[in-house]
Amino acid sequence: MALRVRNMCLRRGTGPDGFELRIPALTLGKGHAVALHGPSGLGKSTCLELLAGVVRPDEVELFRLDDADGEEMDLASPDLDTAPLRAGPIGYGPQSGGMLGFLNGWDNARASISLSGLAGDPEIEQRFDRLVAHLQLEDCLSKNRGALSGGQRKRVSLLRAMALPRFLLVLDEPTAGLDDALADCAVDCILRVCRDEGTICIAAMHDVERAAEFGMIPMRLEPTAQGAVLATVAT
Amino acid sequence: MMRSLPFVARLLTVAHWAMADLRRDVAISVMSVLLLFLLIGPPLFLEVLRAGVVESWAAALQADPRNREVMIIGERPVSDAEIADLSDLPLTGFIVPEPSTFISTVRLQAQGRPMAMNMRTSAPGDPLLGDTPAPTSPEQVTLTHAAALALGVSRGDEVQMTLRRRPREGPQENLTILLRVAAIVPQEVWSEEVAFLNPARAAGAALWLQPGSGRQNALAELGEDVWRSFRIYATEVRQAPLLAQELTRQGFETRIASEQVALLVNLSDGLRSLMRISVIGGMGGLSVAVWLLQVLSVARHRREIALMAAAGLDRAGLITFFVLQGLMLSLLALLLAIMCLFPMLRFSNAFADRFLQSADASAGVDPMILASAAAAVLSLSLTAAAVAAWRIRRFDLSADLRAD
Repeated sequence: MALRVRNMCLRRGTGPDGFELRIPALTLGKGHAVALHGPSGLGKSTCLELLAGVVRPDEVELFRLDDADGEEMDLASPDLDTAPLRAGPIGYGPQSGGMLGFLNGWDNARASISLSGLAGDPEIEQRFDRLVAHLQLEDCLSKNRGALSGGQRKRVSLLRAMALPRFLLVLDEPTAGLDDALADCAVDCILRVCRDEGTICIAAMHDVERAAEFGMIPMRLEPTAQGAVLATVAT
Repeated sequence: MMRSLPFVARLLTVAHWAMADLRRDVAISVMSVLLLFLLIGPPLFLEVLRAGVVESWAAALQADPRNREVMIIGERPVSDAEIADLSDLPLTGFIVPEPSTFISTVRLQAQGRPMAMNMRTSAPGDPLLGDTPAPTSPEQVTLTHAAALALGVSRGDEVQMTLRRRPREGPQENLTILLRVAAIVPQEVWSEEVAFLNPARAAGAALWLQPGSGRQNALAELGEDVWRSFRIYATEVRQAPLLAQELTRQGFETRIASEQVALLVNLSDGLRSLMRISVIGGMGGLSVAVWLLQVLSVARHRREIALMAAAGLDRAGLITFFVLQGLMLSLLALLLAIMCLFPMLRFSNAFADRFLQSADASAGVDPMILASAAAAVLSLSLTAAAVAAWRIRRFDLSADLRAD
């Protein structure tokens, strides 16, 4: 498995108020877990949305995701509908909230499983049950969003992103709103998935020290005159 | 692991989500259903009422042979040749001659006291008798069900027709004629007490009854100048005015009942045009209402649209979400309208029975109307909701995801 990005650029606005986010080169291999950090408001979430396909780049030379068998997915094509990918090879957990208000925790967490048609698959179900236990969500999933705390919602959102085996996991501050114990638990869960399944993970982390303690590779978003640039990461 | 999303799983998931969302916003959903019901219900009810009451009433009136009758007012001598000529008119469906002053002077008796009976002449093909055979010989009589009941007779029994006359000089004379009951007209065809006689017998009786008549029998011979009127029917209700015109031209004074029927048919045609406008207005209103409701729904759900997209639902799935919601709301409104239809029809039927006094005016629900309404509601709702949801394509998912 590998993620390869070269000369990806996203522009918002023009002139002095314009913003440009550049990813000159990014290559991540099987099981790599990267902690994206940088000043607040610089574009970390936008960078993750680019990599998860939520927004499309204005320019890109190479944007490719290879599976374990070496089969390549070209994500650079402007005509590609990226949404179905997020019910398949790419898992995405947004920064805030992340729960659909009209579904309870269970249905929220299983959204990707339901959309992919894999509900009932014994392997998927067992894996899902393990993740529920790992994230300590057993007593939360029957509740509606209003009955859940911010931390519980965050973990449900994280569970949804990880509910299917993924090639690429893109998580926006997965430990935000969690206490230390639960944050450790969440990071441990993410890294275990990366280690066991070879999933590539890119997570925005304010707590870089915690990420480093767990062995995540730091990756910094640097400010530039026009916006931000993703520093080359050494894997 | 890379695979296309199974269509059915995705559709079922979207349907589940759409219903869950309608349940969450139950107050808004109920108000939306009521709004759509107010647009679907009245045109549907009026259309069913028009088709059920007015048209069935008009059809029943058109089918009633009495409305084809051209009534002859007054009396004048009518020859057999004239009767034959009138019978040959293409507008004439049936004609039977009648003698004068006949009806009020005859008594029938079978068991018990003699009783006065309305007498009419009849002949094969008489539309008043329906499928019941007319008296084909002077010895026969056809009775209505009420007349047979009053006389206590059934088919094949004998009844006595008693005629009384008082000569200018001398005592009152009685003549009793035995008649055999040839047939009995069912109650639903003719509800009054009437006896139908062969024209020759009726004319003979009329001749016998004339003051100073020296006749000994009560049977007219062919060519005797006894006819003073006739009962005549057009082939169809709408031909009755033309037949009346022809008879007026020949010197008869006439009156027809079909003018009322024509008015009702015109009313039905007018209502049909009115209903067409009402249905078009209702369906147009429904389309606009569904479109507006779903535009508002899309605007309210921007954050959730972004989240659904983040979870892997593509644009077609997102549009399907709102289309399904529009369809569900419309279907519920349609079901509510159909549920309200039956008690309203019971009320309108009671109204028709009370004021129109016509058993034929009871409305039923034409399944074709319901099927057409369902098809129209579903297709319009689908289109309107899809148009409303189409704007999702322009949404900035990134901005909407952060609007928590």
